[in-house]
Amino acid sequence: MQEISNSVRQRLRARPQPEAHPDADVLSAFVEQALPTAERQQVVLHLSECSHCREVVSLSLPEPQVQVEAQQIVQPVPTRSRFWIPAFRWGGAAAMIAIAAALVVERPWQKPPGHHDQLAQYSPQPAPPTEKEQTATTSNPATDSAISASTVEAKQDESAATQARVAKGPEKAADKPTAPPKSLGVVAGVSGGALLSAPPPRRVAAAPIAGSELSAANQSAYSYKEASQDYLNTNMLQKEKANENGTFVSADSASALPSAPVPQNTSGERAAGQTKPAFPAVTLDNVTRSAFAVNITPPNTTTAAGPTDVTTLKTSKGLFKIPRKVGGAMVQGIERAGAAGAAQPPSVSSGFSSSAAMARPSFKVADSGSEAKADARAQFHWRVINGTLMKSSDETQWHEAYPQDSELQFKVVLAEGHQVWAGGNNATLIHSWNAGVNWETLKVPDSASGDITAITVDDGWQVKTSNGQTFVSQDHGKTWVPLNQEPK
Amino acid sequence: MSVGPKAVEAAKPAIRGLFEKSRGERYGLTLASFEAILEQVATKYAPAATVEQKLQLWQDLRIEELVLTRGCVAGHELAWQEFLTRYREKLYDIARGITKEDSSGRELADSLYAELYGMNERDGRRVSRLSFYMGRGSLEGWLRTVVAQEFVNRYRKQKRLVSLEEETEDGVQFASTESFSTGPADGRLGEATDEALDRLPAEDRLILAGYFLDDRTLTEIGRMLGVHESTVSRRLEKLLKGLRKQVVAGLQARGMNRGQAEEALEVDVRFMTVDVRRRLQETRPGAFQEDKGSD
Repeated sequence: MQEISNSVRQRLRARPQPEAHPDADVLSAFVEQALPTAERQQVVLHLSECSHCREVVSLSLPEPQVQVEAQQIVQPVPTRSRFWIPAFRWGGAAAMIAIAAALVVERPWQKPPGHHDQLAQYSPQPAPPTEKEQTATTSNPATDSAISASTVEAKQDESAATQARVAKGPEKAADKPTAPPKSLGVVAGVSGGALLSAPPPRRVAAAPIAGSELSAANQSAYSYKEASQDYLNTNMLQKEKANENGTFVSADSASALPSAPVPQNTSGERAAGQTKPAFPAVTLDNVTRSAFAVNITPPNTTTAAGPTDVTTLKTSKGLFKIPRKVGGAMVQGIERAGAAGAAQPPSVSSGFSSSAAMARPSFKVADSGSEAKADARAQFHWRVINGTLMKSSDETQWHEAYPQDSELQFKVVLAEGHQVWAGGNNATLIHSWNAGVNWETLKVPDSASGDITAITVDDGWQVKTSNGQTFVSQDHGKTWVPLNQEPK
Repeated sequence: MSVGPKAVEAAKPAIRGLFEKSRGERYGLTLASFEAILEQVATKYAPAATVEQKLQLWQDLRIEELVLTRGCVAGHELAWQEFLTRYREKLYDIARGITKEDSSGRELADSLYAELYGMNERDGRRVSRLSFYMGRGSLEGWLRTVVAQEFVNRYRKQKRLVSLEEETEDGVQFASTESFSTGPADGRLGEATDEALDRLPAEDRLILAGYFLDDRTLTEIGRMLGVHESTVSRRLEKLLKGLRKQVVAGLQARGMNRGQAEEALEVDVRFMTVDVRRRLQETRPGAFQEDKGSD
């Protein structure tokens, strides 16, 4: 097809360019698909001839972000499951029966204890040292001759270091037994003692271990009974080790075994005298806190740095420094929820949403990425333009946000997340709790007159009018009192 | 086409409704001046239309934005305030998006803003470019198109002023002249291709021109036509197949047998005006593009 495209390209280029061009009005209407069909055909005809206008139209196409947003809104069309096709349905049933039959016949849960040796060779961990490597650790000149000089040196260094580690192993492990493994998949050290700090013994079996002591320890570890082969709680193993003398490890290795990391309390200190892992009790408070993944330090632990004036929030993903005003509001919100009584644990409704101004920061600090993105997407910009309440998601396209008649003229708008207040003439005050989807008209007292010129929601809701009046509401706008009559 | 007085009278309520919808009184417009604006639009785009057709045209206009621009042209302060609030930043964003650079985009937007305000005078009156807006599309779209036109015009002006050193670096001075590749060896191929192209609908020719002449992507062409890129891809493939058949048939109608027609298409490749060097550089990996001058 290449030859025809070359020919087409050449003949298209040879076509004469038209002299007259449609004006910007028509071209912009064409881009916006706003032209009648006949006129659109004329523009298409012109564009097929005129490279200048094609360039202009191409440049004046709006950014494709709108299309992306539109695609996000489109709901996925539900499709019929393929498994409802009869062939798949019967095939699936047959497969399940076959699996069940295999389980009944084979009984894999009743395998003899030695089967872990077979499993170990499929372990993703590094393979145990081969005979050749073990020979290299002893620096046998006969085998060294087959290896290049550099390899020999490297292996000799490595074997020397390995031997030194093996020799020092128990003492070194005993020196710092409290060092916890960095992760479950990491095998700490090379000594047999490190086995206990590693996760499952079946994975440890493939670890590079050198020396006769280690192989003995390994064998004893493998011969340990099946119950210990599961993902281990090292404290439990130690306890059972004490009960069953010698069945697990030798005495030397036992002294070198590092104890498992003891759960630490929030201050980072090890709980004294704990013999069992002390998991925090499951309470509604814990569940709520873990759900939000936010730990608030008490107010007296906030950083006292004056100029920055920040509050430190400790989350599961690290520390966050946020302005004191926001952090203070969050802490107050949680304290207020706690003060409401133990029977009423902090929850979304009491601890976070009781005040509109406090509701948002907690979600912003929460380390849930999807929530943060959703919150960022939901940000709107608000303005009052010539008495009209306007809303925009990107500050480029503004839409009328409230269906108002010609008499209503807005003067001020205040937005806190999805909470929006707008005030206008004749002491009109409206409020939306869902970013302008629904609106409620708040009843400011009849004594209020003039235009609403200011709205604040720091401590209760407060509005000011152009006649100098100030009204306060402590019940989310249901009742309003003048500022000098505000009930204590 | 003459329009009877009865028809004009029948259109009055609709015009009054449009005037109220436009809120033109905010910018000092009267009903009479509003009617004059509508008549101006109709004269430009539908001079021979009936009253009903004109009414249809007027109802499709962006009336509010049209009266806003007319208020700006008249120098109404509220109109300018609103225009600046709604479109000033947008104008900068558009210019930045088109020029792909901050400083030149700002410069372009500033120069256009001066034209929109009307720095030039004609017959003692300030001439604002906003007076050319007729409300067929949105004001933002019109501004975007105007910025694009200005950008293309500037680019073409600047492109003429290329230094000799730059021409030497680009190999322009040593490029072969067009006379060596004026066209196909056999004029019948060009005729057959032209004939096949003429038979195509305008939209198909636009797809071909956008793809082969402007090197636009399928997505860009699709956005221009308001269709999905996969639709453009399918149409393009179908178009080329159909074109090939038609060109071969045209060549056969001009006295070639099928083999000769196929051969003419293949032979023609040698006479194409293709910048091989540029094409090869486009397809080479990025690491090879740095040694442009060495090869």
